[in-house]
Amino acid sequence: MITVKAEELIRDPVFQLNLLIWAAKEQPLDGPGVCVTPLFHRHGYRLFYVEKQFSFPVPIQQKLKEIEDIGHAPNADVIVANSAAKSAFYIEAKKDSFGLGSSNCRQARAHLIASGPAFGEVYPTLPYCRIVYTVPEACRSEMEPTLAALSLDVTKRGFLPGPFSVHGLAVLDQHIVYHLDEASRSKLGSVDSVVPLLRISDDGETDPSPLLLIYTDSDTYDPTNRGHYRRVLIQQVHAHLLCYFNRINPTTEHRLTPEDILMETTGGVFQYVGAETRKSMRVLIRENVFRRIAQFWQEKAPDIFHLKGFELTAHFQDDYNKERFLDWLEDTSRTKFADDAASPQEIALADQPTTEQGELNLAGSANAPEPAASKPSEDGPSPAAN
Amino acid sequence: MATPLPNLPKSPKDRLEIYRLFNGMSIAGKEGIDEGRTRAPLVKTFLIEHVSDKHGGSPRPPAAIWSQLRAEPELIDDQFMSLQGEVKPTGANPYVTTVGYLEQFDQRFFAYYTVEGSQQAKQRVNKWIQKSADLDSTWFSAPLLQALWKHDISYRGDDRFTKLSFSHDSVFELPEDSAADEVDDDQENMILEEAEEGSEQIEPERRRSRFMMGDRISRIRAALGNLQSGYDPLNALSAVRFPSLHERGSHDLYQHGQVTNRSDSFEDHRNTIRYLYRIYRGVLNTTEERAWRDLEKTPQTMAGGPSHKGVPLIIHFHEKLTKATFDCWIRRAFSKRNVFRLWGEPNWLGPTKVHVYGADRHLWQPLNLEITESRMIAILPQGTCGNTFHRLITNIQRFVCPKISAWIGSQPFESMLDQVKSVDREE
Repeated sequence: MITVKAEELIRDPVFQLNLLIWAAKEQPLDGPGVCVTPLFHRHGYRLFYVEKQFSFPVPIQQKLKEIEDIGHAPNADVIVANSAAKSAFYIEAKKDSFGLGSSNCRQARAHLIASGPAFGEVYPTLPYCRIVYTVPEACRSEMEPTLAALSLDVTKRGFLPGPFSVHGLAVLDQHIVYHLDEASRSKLGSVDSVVPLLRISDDGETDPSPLLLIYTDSDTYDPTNRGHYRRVLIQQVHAHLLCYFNRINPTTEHRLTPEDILMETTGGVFQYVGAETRKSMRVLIRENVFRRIAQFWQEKAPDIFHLKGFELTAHFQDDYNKERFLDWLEDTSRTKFADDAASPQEIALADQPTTEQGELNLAGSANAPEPAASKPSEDGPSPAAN
Repeated sequence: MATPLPNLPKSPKDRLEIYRLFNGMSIAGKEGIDEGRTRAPLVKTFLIEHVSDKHGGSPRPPAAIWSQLRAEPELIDDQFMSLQGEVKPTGANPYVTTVGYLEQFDQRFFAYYTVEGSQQAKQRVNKWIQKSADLDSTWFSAPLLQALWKHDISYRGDDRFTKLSFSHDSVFELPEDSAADEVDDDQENMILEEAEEGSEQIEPERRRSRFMMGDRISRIRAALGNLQSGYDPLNALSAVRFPSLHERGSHDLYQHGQVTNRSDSFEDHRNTIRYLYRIYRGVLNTTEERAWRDLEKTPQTMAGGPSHKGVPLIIHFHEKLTKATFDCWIRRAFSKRNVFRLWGEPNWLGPTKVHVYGADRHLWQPLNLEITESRMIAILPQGTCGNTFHRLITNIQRFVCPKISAWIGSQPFESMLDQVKSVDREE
């Protein structure tokens, strides 16, 4: 059993991102069937992109070449768009506000430019775009001056930023609510300045989170349940493997990579998450799932599985071996896939070539060379924190 | 007692020979029904679903599937074949004989025709389905049966006789040591035929409702709405009788896709099967098109890239489950032999809330679920068969909560089923 305070949850980037995606999902308009109030969907806004890298028009790219403090390829957390209204909201979710001294400013300048006329240049059917920073409500008033200053800064340097808003997440009257500013309400066609998005259970101990549509290997904000997102990731991969191996022909060889599986289990979003997150997710799957399978079955039936680099090869030869493996894979008390985060050493090694023999040491990477310090991503490990 | 199986030819000249044979049996069977006795076994058909290439699976020709099931299929024409199986007559040695015929309607749907007794035939079909991860029953859930009643059966003539059956067993209300993992299949086919009476078995106390209404259509139509709003289990419709449109008699449709011919024409029976197959195919396609969380290419006027589509499937329980029932359900639903056939490790988010990132254990396709004491939300990843959702609705109404509301995204499930009234009845 876990106990999560909703106040902590609204600062959790993965939760924020999932909440926004659910708000763009088609659901019943009201009543008991509503999972998350479909705020965007009911006003005609549909999910357009999740974790999409924005490609600037060439003149802007050329201009940015010589500029260091503006990101060259901003990654939007969520873009919702209304084709009929020819408008879009380019949404960034942040766990906290930031000031002009923050490293986040580099990316924020890029987001402001991306949501300006550049957006309509890239997506001609959506000439209007507004960038929205979604932060905990308590941070909203600190966020607005930062964005105003950054907007002025890029304007002075000859760029055309888009209009911006700051929206707030808060806990109010047994709900997680969403505060919108007047400009966004007007564009959205909504009259409500505070929209209850998600109901919090009366029992005070139930986590109100909706089903995760997007997840990474990052820690949760709940100190009592840090590995929850990794566990979900592992469970998704586990389910995928079980379905996959149940349906294959045992007499032929099958090759699996973490990328292929993660593309399937994330509905393709994996390719758009930040490079560092992508790398650590790949390593997590290799170390916690592939290696466990290969090690366990090396003792039972050494010829079935081979782990080379990130590729797991399976060749059962016959139904008997396949059934033995599936009996094991189906039983979570035997598979015991760990949800520990991949270590920085393992993540750094992800870029290293495999050993001379081409096989990874199944006993682990204890003898691995000391890795170079991995470069942290600009805004932390979670997709929502870009 | 096992009903003796008549001799069926393994290699008839053509399928029409089987039509004529089944027609003869249908006439004899109908005469038996009219005279209050069964002179000939009734023809029954099982509508079976097979994985399609839309699911990323590899569809196989039925001959290959049933060869693997050791049913020795023998092709009579391109889409019609005889099947062999072991028969165990009471007091005699088992032997292998032709047990029925399989027709392929399309890549995804097959009809299995047989004159075996209901229980034996159902056990045989269940065995095939359990042994093949790419076969499943078709699941005519209560809302779908209700839509068939509303848009079709209730218009088949005010004075025609019909029957509706309702069935709900709150098996998860039982103490754990007495909650059955497997449903008592043997009782299922009695629903429209004989209500059990005089049973002396000791039954644990729980909600267990079985009703059958047999009456003229006009009388049922006048009474049903009030009855259903007054007593929840009367929303768990489990079987309906279609009075034949062109012949004497009727056709009984059960939730697991079995249709029993009580008319005197095999052609009329097969026409009914084809009609139900088209309806079910339409419902399933609509479910999948809307439910799959997919990546679609944006129009070329926009820069290339993916965007999310797909909607959640939502089932709301009109009566909240107790904590004890919820616990029992979650503990058992993910065990190997349970009727829900789910795999996964529930993540407890509260006393009566779990998230499961798991799989449909029968079809081995991924399935993400939120389950609380008052609803279930399902996300079907791309490729997961819509049959999974219809099986969930069927089993929830049968074993968890008899009265539900369901949505696919914002669309009430019932409105999706309105296509029942507009289905193209011609090929």
